[in-house]
Amino acid sequence: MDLSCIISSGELELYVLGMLSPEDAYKIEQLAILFPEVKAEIDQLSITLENLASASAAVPPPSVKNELMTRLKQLKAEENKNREIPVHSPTPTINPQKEETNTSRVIPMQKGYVRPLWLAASLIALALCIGAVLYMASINQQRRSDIAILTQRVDTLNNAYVLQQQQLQAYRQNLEILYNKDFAKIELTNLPGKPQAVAEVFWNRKTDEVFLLDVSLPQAPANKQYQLWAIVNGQPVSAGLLSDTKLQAQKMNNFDAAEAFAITLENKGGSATPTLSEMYVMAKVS
Amino acid sequence: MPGTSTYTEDTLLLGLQQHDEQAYSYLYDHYSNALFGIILQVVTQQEVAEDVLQETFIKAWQNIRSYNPQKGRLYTWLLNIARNTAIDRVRSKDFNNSAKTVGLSENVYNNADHAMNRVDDVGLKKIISSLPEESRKLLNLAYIQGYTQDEIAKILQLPLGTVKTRIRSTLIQVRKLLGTKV
Repeated sequence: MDLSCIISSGELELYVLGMLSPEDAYKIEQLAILFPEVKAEIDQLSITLENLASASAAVPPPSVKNELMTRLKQLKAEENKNREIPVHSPTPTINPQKEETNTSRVIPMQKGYVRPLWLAASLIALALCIGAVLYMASINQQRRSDIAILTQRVDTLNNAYVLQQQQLQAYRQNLEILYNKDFAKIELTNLPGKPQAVAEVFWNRKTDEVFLLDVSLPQAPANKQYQLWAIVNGQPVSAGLLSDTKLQAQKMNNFDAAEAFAITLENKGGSATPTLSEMYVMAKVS
Repeated sequence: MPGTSTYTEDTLLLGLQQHDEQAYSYLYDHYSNALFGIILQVVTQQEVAEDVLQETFIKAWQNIRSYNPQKGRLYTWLLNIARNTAIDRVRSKDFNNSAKTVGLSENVYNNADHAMNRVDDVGLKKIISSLPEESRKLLNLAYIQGYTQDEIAKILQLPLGTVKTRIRSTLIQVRKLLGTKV
């Protein structure tokens, strides 16, 4: 790791000179614990100041030492006394904590519990990272469900569009049939005793194509199906089964000749010959 | 010197932590001259300096259990106590009343020059005098007077960052000079 930015920052010099706030000094101490290079630099700076002090040494009078040793003896004696009677603590100078506040400008050398700064920083960064990931995940989740909803709507619209296209196609075809002069329109109407019903056969006399349009018959039972017949030379010939689609012109079998058309209700799948009692609509070709 | 020079670093620290008077006697013999030199530069008055020196060792006695050799050198730790005690004394009301000091920033320079003159050691004087004027001032303000970076910036009318970089270059100069001198 490149520590030159720390070493050349000037912060270490401020630290050894005791010019940093306790918080900043603590940071430097944590850096020194983590990086031997920083510790070595701090030691070098300390030695520089020590050498400066050594170079400026001055000899104090011997009385200072004598007085000091006397006072230390007293402190020691008080200490021992306090140890004997631990309930009382009459001398505030013994209390190291109080003294600590007096000497607060001394760079604190020990903080009981070591919490590396970068560990804290990296934990915070990690927490932010996790937060961001979770946030993105929740946004993603939201987006995914949004997309699902939109996809569904697009599908629905697409289906509707396809359906409409089919209907449009059907109508266009219907229109073509309706406007095409080649088609003859044969309007089938209900037989006596049968419910009100209509169906229109469009028969192209040039191409022989037969279409069924505007069918309005009673709903066929599940096992039954309507069948269109052409009467050719007095004989009924199947023109095909009717599908459920009602909008679209339904293409039936081609006929080049027919006297009449009729629709009967037959068993599902149709019959070879019409059940006359179940004939609903009929019309003669004019 | 009493015959106590048999201390190793570890046994000395142990003795200090146990409040062994012999250990403090040894500590005093070893460091009092250097500490007194620094204290004198800060407080300048002989009697006050003697008092501060005594207080320094008493503080060391009281705070030795908070000293961690892994975090810093003992000498540096003592130096910091001495310097801070001296600086606190200079800033106390008592001191200012008795010393009749001039304006604080003015005092910085006078005091500094005064202090330098008083130090007997020719080596230090040479070292300090061979520094550029600005570095000398910075060293005084920061080290001897104990001003903060902010205060120094105001006194010298320099940007904060400049103070920091110049302090660094000053210490580099000092290191070089001491390297050849000491």
